[in-house]
Amino acid sequence: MLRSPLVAPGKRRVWTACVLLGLAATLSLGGMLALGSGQLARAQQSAATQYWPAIYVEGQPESAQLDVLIAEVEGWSRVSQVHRRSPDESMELLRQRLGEEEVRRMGLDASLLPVVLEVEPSALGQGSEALAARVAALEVREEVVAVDLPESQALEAMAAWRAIRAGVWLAWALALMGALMGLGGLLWRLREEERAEQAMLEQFGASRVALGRPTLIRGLVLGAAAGALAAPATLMIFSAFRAALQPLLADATLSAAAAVPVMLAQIVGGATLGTLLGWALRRPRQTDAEKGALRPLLDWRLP
Amino acid sequence: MIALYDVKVPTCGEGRADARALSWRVERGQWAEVVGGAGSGKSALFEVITLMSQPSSGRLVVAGRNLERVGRAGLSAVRREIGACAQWPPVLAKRTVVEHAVLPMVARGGASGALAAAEAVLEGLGLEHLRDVPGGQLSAQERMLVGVMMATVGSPKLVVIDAVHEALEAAWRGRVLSWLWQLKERGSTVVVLGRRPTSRSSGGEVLRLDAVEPEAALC
Repeated sequence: MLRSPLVAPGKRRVWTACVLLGLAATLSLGGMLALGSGQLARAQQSAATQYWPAIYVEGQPESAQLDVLIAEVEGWSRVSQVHRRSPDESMELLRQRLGEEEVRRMGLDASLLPVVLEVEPSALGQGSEALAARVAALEVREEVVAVDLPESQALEAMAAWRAIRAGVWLAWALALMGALMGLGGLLWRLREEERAEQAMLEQFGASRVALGRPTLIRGLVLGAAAGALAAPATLMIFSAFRAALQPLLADATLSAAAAVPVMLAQIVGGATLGTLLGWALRRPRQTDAEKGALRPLLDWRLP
Repeated sequence: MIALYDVKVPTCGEGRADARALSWRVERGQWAEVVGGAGSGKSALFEVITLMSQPSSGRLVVAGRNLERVGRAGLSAVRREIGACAQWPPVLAKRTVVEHAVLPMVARGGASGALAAAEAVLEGLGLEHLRDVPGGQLSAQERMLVGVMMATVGSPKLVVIDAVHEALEAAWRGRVLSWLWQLKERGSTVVVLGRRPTSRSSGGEVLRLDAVEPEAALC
């Protein structure tokens, strides 16, 4: 090439900018999905490992109805054990945590407190939404005053995400394919515009590697540039939506440990995809002439 | 420098499709001419010698390399030894004449001395006035001169010219042949293809295609 391979994309500014922004937006969306689902999973995991569902039951701690309920809950496959806490034990716990003076000031008395059944899951984290859903269903019973579930919104969000996850990722993969087709179209067009020059270079002895290099370099640079645009954009969008995500996620603050691998994956992934595309389009496809005639030896001959 | 052993070259003269089996030899530093009428296979032979196409049969040695034994990379290496100008040489509409002169040197990987070599060939052929003119603005004759310039820049070991000189005005024809002869004197092998022998033919080898009997239908 007489000029840098990056001069040609610069002459097609609008097309290049559209391709770059399209690929960057797709990579950014992928990063958002990866970060969001990761945060959601962490929130759910954290909720499931730190809290046990609690059932607040009206009535006397020694009643037969309570024993029946405990036996029923302990019969569930995901429950290891049900811990019964009497109103007196709850009162003692309150005194320990808040102090005698504070409890007296609040006017609390053991007779005002319900019996608490703490449900210990058999395996933390796994199937916790199903357990939470079964505990939540107990609230309609007469003897149950209330239930306390760990981060129910996070669990609901996680359950919803699991239901639509495959579809969302599939849609993203299609969008990525579309963006890559846009990049491929640009690389193909730039290659064809330089075909006459490449044909001359080949005739004078330029190697196949040298002739294929411009498309390869363009793919690499455009892919890496899209990734480099996508990485900060992902963080900015994620930060902007943090307030909206707060109720769903136990901790919506993005940690560097989570963000850096995603940003690196966007840059390296963009560069890799661009390079692969450049490699696939590095030279034109030629079909050999009919048998009996001279067989062309040049890849870049003019059509 | 060039050796052909029963190389079948397609011809399409007088409405018939034939082929000629050619055996020919050109030594290093020699002036050689291939002479034949329209459809005698000159351009096909040009494509074979300059490694643009492969014949259906026969053995070919160019620049000391047996082409049966070289791969893709080997073909590129042999092409770096050749400067070729087709009958209607293509030019790049947006590249200037001096950029055209630099291009073969870039292809050969000798970009460092490319500009000096380009200036030398522009001066040698008397084309300095076209130096910064884009290819799109050149006349047909100027395009042919640019083709000769590209074929001869950097004094390649083998220069092959396909009938371009016959379409030039007499003054330019004389200048081009003189320039090619200078290259031959400096050690390059020069092969000129045309309908008639040039004024320099007495000093070299001449292959008359019309004297070779056509044999089998090919194209």
